[in-house]
Amino acid sequence: MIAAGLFPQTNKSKMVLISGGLYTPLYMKETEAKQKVNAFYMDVYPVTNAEFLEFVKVNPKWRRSNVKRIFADKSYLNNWKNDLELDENAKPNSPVTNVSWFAAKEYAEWVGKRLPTVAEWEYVISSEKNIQKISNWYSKLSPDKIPPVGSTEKNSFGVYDMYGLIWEWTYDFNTALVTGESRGDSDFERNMFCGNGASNAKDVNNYPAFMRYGYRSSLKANYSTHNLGFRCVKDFN
Amino acid sequence: MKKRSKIAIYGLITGALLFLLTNLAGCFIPQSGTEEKKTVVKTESVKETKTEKHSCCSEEENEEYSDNSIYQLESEWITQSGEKFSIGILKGKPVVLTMFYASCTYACPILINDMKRIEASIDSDELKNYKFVLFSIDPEKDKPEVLAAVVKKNNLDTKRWTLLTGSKDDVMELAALIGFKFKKDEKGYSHSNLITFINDEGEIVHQQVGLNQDITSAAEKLLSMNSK
Repeated sequence: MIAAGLFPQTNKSKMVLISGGLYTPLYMKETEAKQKVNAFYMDVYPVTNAEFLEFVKVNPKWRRSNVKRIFADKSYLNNWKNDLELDENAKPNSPVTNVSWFAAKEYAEWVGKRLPTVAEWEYVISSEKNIQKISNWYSKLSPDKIPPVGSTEKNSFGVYDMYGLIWEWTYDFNTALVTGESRGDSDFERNMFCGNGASNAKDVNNYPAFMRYGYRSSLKANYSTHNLGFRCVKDFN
Repeated sequence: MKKRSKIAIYGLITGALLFLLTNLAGCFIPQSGTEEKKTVVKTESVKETKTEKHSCCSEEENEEYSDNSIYQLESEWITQSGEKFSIGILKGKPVVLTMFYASCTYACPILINDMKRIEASIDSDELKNYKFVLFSIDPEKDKPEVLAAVVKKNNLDTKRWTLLTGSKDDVMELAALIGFKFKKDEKGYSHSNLITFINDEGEIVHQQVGLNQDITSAAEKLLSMNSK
């Protein structure tokens, strides 16, 4: 009951414990060891429109007509009817999209959680060994009416919709350092980024991972688009 | 039983009154424990958390910055001399800024040098109208004394230059806002080579990518930003 006061205890904000383990980042140096991901709780489903509506009801500065451009661009919640009403293309149990990183982050903090790191998110999706399945979804266009959460695959951790529904914000999306002509060690890259030499992709066959990596590197924090949403996580201890 | 139902009724009436009060009072929401007040309790605990960083309802404060001003972040930092520094203090003068870390041996010294070259291109009597700011992306290591050493090593005039360290989350928010990418690795950080030009309102007007860049156009942009 105490927990109910802290964040909405709806079915959709259920969390599941993700046991810790080793994660192989896509770009890794030869000398680098695998990264350790500590145990954490992850939302079973992405955050829904209904949940986000509760957030903006009590946080007026995150309503569509109030939000500052620096925190959310002009497509922020543009699939809602207005500040406090959903719409045909934003059903209550569909994942909330058209939200910026700042908005997602604020929501996560509001419910006492946080955004997952790239390592955490990738670690969870890595339980899906059938890369082709993921690839197939990435090659399709997202529908205007995004289906409700829970309507795509559940993985072995018990998490739904890691692919097949929406792209998802991560806390440190800006750790993806790539350029358009990414060739690792080019002079151009050395000029753009200060780094410690070339990082090589560990698994050149993991095309979906490349896509996600590239996608993250193209994002800006105030960006919002119709198939980009998020889910939250919470520390284990 | 009778006593319990009396308490329940009083509880409901109190709850209803509180509910009305909260709707009229806006952001100021009193404590409540009843089921209907789930929303109220949530906001209360959020307000407590958020006082550390942003204030959810300081509409007046937010109105002093334009919609595109980075000072909307309202983050708190510490300077190289250990003083508290709200990011909004920078408002009023154009700012040249970059993010860096003190133990960076390659790009950061060059970036600082690029900023010094920009500084040197401005007439000395105009210099007082500009600020040069370095935000550390390595708050664990870059304590004020470490930043002070950077100031000394690079001979930076603290009348114009400020070096800042802050919380990891504030670093992340600022970096995300200005499009500065960085990633920790075993030797330090990989990061963007980016100098950002901000006008006196706090809005980004120009960004310079890369090292050892031709600073002429950057300097011109900087001078044109100064409305004083």
